[in-house]
Amino acid sequence: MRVQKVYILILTLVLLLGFTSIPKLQTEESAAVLLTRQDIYTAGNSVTLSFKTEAQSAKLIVSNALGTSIFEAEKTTASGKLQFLITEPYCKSSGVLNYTLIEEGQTLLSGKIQLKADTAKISKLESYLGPQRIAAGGEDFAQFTILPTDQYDNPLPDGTEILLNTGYANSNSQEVLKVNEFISWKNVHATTRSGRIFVAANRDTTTSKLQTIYVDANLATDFNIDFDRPNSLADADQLTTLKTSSIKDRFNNVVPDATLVNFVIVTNTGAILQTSGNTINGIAEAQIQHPAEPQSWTVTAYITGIAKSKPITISYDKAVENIPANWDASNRRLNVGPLNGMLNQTLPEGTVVTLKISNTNTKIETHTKKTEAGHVVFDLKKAFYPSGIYSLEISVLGVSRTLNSVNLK
Amino acid sequence: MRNTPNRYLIIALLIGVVFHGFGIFFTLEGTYDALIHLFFADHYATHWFEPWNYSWYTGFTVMGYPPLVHQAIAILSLIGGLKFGMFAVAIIGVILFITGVYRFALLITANPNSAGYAAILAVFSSSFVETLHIFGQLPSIIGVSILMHCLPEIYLWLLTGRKKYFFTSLSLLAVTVCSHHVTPIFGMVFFIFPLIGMAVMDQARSQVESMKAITFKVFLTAFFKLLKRMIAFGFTALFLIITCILPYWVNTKNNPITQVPIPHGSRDNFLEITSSGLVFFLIPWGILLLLMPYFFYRYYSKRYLFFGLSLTMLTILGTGGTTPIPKLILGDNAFNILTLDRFTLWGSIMVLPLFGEFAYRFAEGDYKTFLSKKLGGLYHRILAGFMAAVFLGTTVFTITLSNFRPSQPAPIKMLPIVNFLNQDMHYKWRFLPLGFGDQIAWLSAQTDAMTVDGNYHSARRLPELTTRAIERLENSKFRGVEGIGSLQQFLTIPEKYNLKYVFSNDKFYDPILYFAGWQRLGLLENGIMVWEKLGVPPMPELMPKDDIPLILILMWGIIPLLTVLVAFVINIQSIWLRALRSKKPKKPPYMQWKIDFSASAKTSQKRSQSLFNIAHFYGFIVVCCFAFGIYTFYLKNADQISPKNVVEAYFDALDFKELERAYSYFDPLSEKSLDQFMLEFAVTDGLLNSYAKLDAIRVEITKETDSNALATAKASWITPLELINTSEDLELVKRSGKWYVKPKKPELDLPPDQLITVTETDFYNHGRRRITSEQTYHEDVLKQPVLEVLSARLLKVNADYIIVGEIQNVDNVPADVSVKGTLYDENDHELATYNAKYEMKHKLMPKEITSFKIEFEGTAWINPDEHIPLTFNPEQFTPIELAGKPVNFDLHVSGNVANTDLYKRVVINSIHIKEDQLTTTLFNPGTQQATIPQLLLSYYDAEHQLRWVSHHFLQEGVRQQRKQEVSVVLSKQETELISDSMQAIFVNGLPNTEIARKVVPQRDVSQKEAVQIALKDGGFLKVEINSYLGNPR
Repeated sequence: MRVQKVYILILTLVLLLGFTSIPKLQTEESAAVLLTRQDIYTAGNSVTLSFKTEAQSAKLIVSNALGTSIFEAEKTTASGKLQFLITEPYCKSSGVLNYTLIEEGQTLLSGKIQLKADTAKISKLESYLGPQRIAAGGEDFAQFTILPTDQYDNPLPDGTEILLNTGYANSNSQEVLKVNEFISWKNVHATTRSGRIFVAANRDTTTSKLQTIYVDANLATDFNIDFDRPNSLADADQLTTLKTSSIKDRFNNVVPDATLVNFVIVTNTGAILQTSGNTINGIAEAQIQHPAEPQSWTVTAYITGIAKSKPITISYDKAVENIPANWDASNRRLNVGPLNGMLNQTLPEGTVVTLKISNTNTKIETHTKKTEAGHVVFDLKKAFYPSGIYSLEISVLGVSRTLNSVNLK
Repeated sequence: MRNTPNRYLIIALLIGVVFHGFGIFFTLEGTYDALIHLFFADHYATHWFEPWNYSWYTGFTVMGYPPLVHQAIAILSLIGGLKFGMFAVAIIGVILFITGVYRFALLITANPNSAGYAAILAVFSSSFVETLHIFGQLPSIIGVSILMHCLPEIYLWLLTGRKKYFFTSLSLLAVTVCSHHVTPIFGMVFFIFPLIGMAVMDQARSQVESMKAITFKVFLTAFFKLLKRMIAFGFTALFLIITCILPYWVNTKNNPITQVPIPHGSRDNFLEITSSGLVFFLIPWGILLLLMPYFFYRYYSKRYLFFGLSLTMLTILGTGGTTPIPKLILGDNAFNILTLDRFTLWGSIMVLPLFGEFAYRFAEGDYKTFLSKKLGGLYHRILAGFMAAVFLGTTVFTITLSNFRPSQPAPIKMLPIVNFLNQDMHYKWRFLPLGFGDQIAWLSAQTDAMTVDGNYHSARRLPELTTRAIERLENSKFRGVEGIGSLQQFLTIPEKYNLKYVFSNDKFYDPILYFAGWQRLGLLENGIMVWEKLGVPPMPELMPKDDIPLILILMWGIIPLLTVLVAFVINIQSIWLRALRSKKPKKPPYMQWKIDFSASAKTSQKRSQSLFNIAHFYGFIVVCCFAFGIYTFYLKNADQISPKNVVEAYFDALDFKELERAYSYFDPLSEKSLDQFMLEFAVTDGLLNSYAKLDAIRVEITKETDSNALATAKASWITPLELINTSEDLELVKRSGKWYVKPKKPELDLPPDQLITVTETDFYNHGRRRITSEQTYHEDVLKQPVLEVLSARLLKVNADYIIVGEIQNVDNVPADVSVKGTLYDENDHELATYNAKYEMKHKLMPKEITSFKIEFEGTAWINPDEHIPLTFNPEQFTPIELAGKPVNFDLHVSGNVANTDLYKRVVINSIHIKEDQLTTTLFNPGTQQATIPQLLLSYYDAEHQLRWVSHHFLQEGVRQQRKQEVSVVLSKQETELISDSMQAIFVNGLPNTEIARKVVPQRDVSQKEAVQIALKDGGFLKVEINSYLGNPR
């Protein structure tokens, strides 16, 4: 039990010693006291922070949204007082400015002050607009966004009023916008007439850039087409011009220039031909050459998926009446011509003449030649066509004539 | 060596510097390689210690080529610019070469007169002239010249064993190593080994009485006596070869040349490809060919025996692919990497000492005596005149060769391009020059802008390039399918490479550019057309590069010039010491083996006689071969002896646009005048007439009599877009023994109007409206046009996958459209990405619709076992290998405001479908000539769903108010629908579904069907036209 006594003694001693030594506690009073009372400043004004502290070599760490820096005391006016001048750019940037007074790694005091934007000196109204082009009618809109800033590029506080000017044709309107979360914005809805809407913002003497909203015509509505041609002959030469009426949207705006109109032609033989034109002042024109045989066309124009025209019908009459042909048996030569048109004129140069040669035991061979001064000559050489009875079918511009039982010697 | 300098050497140097110094100003910039070295020099001039260069191939390391010459040019460029540096180095090369030949010849012949003659002949040596003035291989010239300077030192070290020579020889070898890597390696084999052999032989000779007394035993004893010195030299040389350009070897190990070998003319069969034979055999050997027996006779004498073996080797290797021997000796790999012309160069340099010796003997030595005695002085003079004429003729021909056969396009003024690239931050994108030849290196040296191409093919890194045997994209049209295929890939997906600008110096490439969605920006003042692709992102600010250890970088920057400095100090110092010594210097040991060839020498008459006979017989055979070659050449040109020949000749003339020659094949009794023919040719334009190159022609004579024939010419033409096969019937007629072609009637079709009036909406995009170097202002950026994807379907065709669909420009401004499709497997892993290429109209007017098809193209022949087709086919398509099975896809469509290439006037004037044959007449009522019209054919199923899109290029253009008939075989592919989900489609980054809902909410889908032509199988066909204007006005 003696041993236990010793233990108790030691324990008591340790406890006694433990309670007698006083641990070093933090000093009750702060090592520094802020003397400056102002805690809200206007950006751009000088900011001076004064502290009462014994630590004469203390420095001030300053940080805001842009960065952090360290300042040295300006001068020691009196013992126990330190004064810091917060210089550019920290005194120009609005928002919270945190400061910490330190000495040899020890934080003496920390706090924050507020800097407000200088609403008295709005120097810039940055503006953005999008989209630049909208469709007429009132549903589509462009958003005009303004970022007003003071001379130090600080955003302005909520509720700052900005004047929005909107101009369309000869009328102007004004509206007051309030800054919310640093920006103010306005959805400018399209007018029912196409044209340009100009928007700009201002406050006092500061103005934004002028922004332009192009209001284009809305989607095209159905339209009519017409045609124009020098004659009605199927001569594979002249051109027929197809033309739309002025294409407009449902608000009576002419569709924008260069809108592609596709003219689809269904022929009486079932073929589908296409030609296209771009609108100018709402009217699209397209040309197509006359067919090479009498045909009747049904033409419909499309702005595909959006609008179409009423169909129109165009007929082409035959351009040649009869086909003079003369078989020269001694030279094995077929003279076709003179091919004359409806005015008894020679057919245009290069009109295609087709000759189909067939006899009972050979398959049909087709030759095409183009007219020169209304004439075409086919030489049926002996080397290529052995003697026998042939049938020759000549066709010009959809008109045919057959020479039966021609004897090639 | 001597107290008085050799007067022949002085003359050679004077003539050499004047002749070459004058010549290089006209030739060097047009050579194959000089500008590449200039580009490297520019790199060192601006970033001496930077091993990485971004300008070419998305970045490469300059440690792929020994730097000494480049660094020397770079240093000299500080005085007078890059070109000054290049010319200065070239002149230094000339001086080194002439003096080198002199020293080498002195070593071999031990006769100052012979060596002097050799030096003079070296000035005009055709192989040297070719290497400098045609190939521009400066490092190779410097390397071999220094090597020749090195040889006497090596000899002296071996025989005397004096340390001085050990250091001089090695210091020179180090310079050789730093200027060219191949020269010292092969120089060891072909120059230094024979030299060692000769040294041993001389050592042996000094121990016995006569040359004849040297037996193998004596030789062996001498060999062992010198062995220690040989080993010392050999290992130190090896050490130098490795350490001096250690970074080069490290780089070679890290980036082994795994690329497909690039064809080189020196590997051709010279008998088949005569142009290669001329450039790589006839020219470099030149007159030396006539003297071959002498060279072999002399080099196979006992003393030079090893040089004889070496020369035999070089001669055989230099024959390239003419015989299979070089391939057997070198092995497949080395044969395909090395350019074999260098062997011929070394061979021709090796014989120069003997050529000098011969010239000396012939001009004033024993041969003169012999010939004068035997055949009189006149014969000697005639022979001398003949040989001088051939020799100088070859030289003059060689130096002016680039005038006869331009190897390069005409010099391009680079300043407008450099200015263009510097303007408006154009350097933020990569560019691609086309048709520039080796001048792309000069362009790259002048600008910081980067290109995907480059001119040092060992450094290529992109698999699109390394898997193909193409040197450059720039000249891809000469590389057939591989070239055009690679180019198409770069042009179809340019955003992958940030490639935005193409400088085209060759209109051949214009159609590919247009149909791949590029547009012309305009001509620069130097006549270069700038093409631009809209919507390509600029290059990232930070770009990757290989990390190279600092020690290698320092070695690379310091050692090469240090070797020059050391070599200079050591060698000059020894000359100084020699000069300072008052007593007459001892002759170097090799001078004691001089053979007396002077006029009074008593050389063996018998031997001279037999050599005379052999030489004349040989000369006769060579002249006969030459005459035979010319005769065959003439026979090939006998054009009108048969109907077949005349048709071939006619097509050939048309192909080369030699219209007068083509006209000369026309029947003289026909009424067509040359003027008329020229006019007819001038008014035809189109893919076949303006962009095609004849590839092959087969002429079938269908009917033939004595005086008449009917021929069908089946020709295949290479065009940038596709291979075109034409079949043309021609009537032939024979008049007074010659066959002629009967000319065809011109197009008779007359347009209805004389003057065409068209009103058109025009667009102009200012781009930046403000003149400022700042980023473009927000309000100056044009809104991207809104496009709507009307349908899109992922289809399976056989084993491949495609995406087809239709896009409409629903905005009010014209749009330039590009479509990118991506395939995903069922786990949404990306499988492949590609852009629509030819099957779409890239320019859409407001409300215009285009069909599109995206094929997923892979990099061709990425597997080495795949067979590369031998014939050209630009349409060749390599499907991509997918890692999984695509079940889904997305589409990214981007539109940008377009203001060019908006010509949409061409009309479908008649259409007729019979069986599978579509015949249609296109008519052009507008004011522009449609150079290459393209038909886009969209195939729909019975439910009007798109199943397949194909295209067809018209061979001939459609002129204003003219028609063009075209027949196309409908080629519909059976496809299987994989997905028609429209969920993952984005237009300018916005979801397509939103656009479809908002822009045209009440779309009349049936209107699309109005243009669809019913087909027999229940499906439908839509025909669209897209026209390329060659010369828009």
